Amino acid sequence: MFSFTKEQTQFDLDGTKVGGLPGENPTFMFGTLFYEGEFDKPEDSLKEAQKLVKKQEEFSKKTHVPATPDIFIYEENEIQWKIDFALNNISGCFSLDMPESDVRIKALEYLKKQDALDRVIYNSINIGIVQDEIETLKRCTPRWAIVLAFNPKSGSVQGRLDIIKDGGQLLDKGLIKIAEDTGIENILLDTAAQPFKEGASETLRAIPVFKSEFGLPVGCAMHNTVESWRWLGEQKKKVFNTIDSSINCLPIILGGDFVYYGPIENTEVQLTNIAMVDKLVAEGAQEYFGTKISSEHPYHYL
Amino acid sequence: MDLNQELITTVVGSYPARPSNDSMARSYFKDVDPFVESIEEAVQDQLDAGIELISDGQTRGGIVELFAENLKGYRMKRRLEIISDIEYRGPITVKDQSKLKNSLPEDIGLKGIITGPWTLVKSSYNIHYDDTKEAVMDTAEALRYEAEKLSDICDIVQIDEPYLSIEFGSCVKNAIERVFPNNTTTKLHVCGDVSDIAEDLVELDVDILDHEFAANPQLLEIYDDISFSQRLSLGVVTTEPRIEEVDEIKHRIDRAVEYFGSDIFIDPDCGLRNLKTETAFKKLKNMVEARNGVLDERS
Repeated sequence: MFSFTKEQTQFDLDGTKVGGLPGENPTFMFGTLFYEGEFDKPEDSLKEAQKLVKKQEEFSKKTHVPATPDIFIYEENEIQWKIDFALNNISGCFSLDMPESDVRIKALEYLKKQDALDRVIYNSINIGIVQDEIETLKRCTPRWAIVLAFNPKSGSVQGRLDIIKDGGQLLDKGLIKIAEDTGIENILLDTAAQPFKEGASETLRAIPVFKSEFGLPVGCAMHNTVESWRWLGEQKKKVFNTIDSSINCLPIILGGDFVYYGPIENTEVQLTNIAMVDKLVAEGAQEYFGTKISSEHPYHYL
Repeated sequence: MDLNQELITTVVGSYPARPSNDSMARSYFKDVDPFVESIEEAVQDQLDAGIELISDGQTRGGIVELFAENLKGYRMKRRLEIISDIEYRGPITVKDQSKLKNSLPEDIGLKGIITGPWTLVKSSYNIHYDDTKEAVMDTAEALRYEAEKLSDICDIVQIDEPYLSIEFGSCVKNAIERVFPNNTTTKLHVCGDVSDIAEDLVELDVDILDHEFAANPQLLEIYDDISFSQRLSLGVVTTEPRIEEVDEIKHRIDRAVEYFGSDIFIDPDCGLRNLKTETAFKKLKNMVEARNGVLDERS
């Protein structure tokens, strides 16, 4: 287990603290909603999506592990109905995961129009950021943003560090500075999960390195590594889901603060699993490092 | 491709093409390779400029990092380190070369390029081997697998050893000869001023020696004064941003032919990675035009 001498920034995410020393706060969990063609048509999907969001809220309360959806938006025509869904069905903040920069720009403008920028975790500021997006972010500034440390030229921790710190010779400045210059105040660092043989383990090793270097909340989506593992994809669904759940424990052991855990359908197992790991880490941190465990931590309840 | 032609135009290796940041970002979310785009751009520019023996542009990364990060035993931290026995992990550039070769016209040749063992080891901080020579020879052994695979695909296998102009170690000859396969045309590129090591270089079992003759014209005299069996590949445009006029390049080629005859290769001094794409392209185009002028006059 880890502790850090570098001061660790904590952010308030709807009344829950994220970040800090390992064991101090519970892990913040994000479950994916509307991933690749899932619930294509809003009219068919709303009821099912509502159930999943409600279930996540219930299990979050039950386990004391904070959680919210990570909503995927791929195309411009999905922006309005997906954001409207989030605003009407999610009680607090939510993450918007948008791979394309032109979609991110349009979504920011819609969020501003809806006066909802203070409810959004912008996912993500990454190497694909363009000047139009930077300008839009200055006008429409979300309250929180994920900075993604994906470096296509190097999967090493150093490569990931370079891209967020100084641009890694691919950008004029580092992604953290780009985010700060737009006015975003709450930055969370995603170490950028990779497939095996492309730096999968470096994703995890980057967690304590980033915590030490920047003192910001750090996390990742190790589910992506499991998802890209073709051999595992050929195994039984039960086996796949068990492995998928177990890999999400690893970032926390390495000091991580948040986890993108994959499909929101897996909330029950994922949150329960993380509650267990959070209790373990908190217990160890308190006993060995004297870390003060926050009052809402699952350590005190389960 | 017929490698016995006069004054074949080629490149040293790197070209300043790179994928857009947007497509690199997209590769995180979808299973796509953004460097396909930059390789295609580098190749197309070389073909449009009239280069006859091309490279893949080495757009995937720095020449040291690309190889070191893909060999077992090297670790990239703030500096490159050697932390365990060096071994071949698997193909590094082979897939790109194979795909590229299949798409090229028959009269266009392809170079497979490997960063040499001496340069890789000397660019690293060795915290594993007691003896640097062991690290160099293990790196050579690992790179030999890559070279053998490339020799099945490419017309030439080239080793880049920029560090040789700084230091020529006692194990260099064995290491370089260990990497090169027996069944292919081999080329060694050493940049910088190689005046002091030319006599060592000509002792190596390699078919072609490639140097920066444009930036170091004194090398003409140096090589003229020693006996050697290799063919030469002469840099006739520099890697500086200034684009040389065709006549200036032609003059350099004429001088090279005066010294060594027309059984030579013509290329830029070194990789063009650090130039703007437009500049690199114009340099190559002017070089080919100058070479054509020389051939016209000779015929």
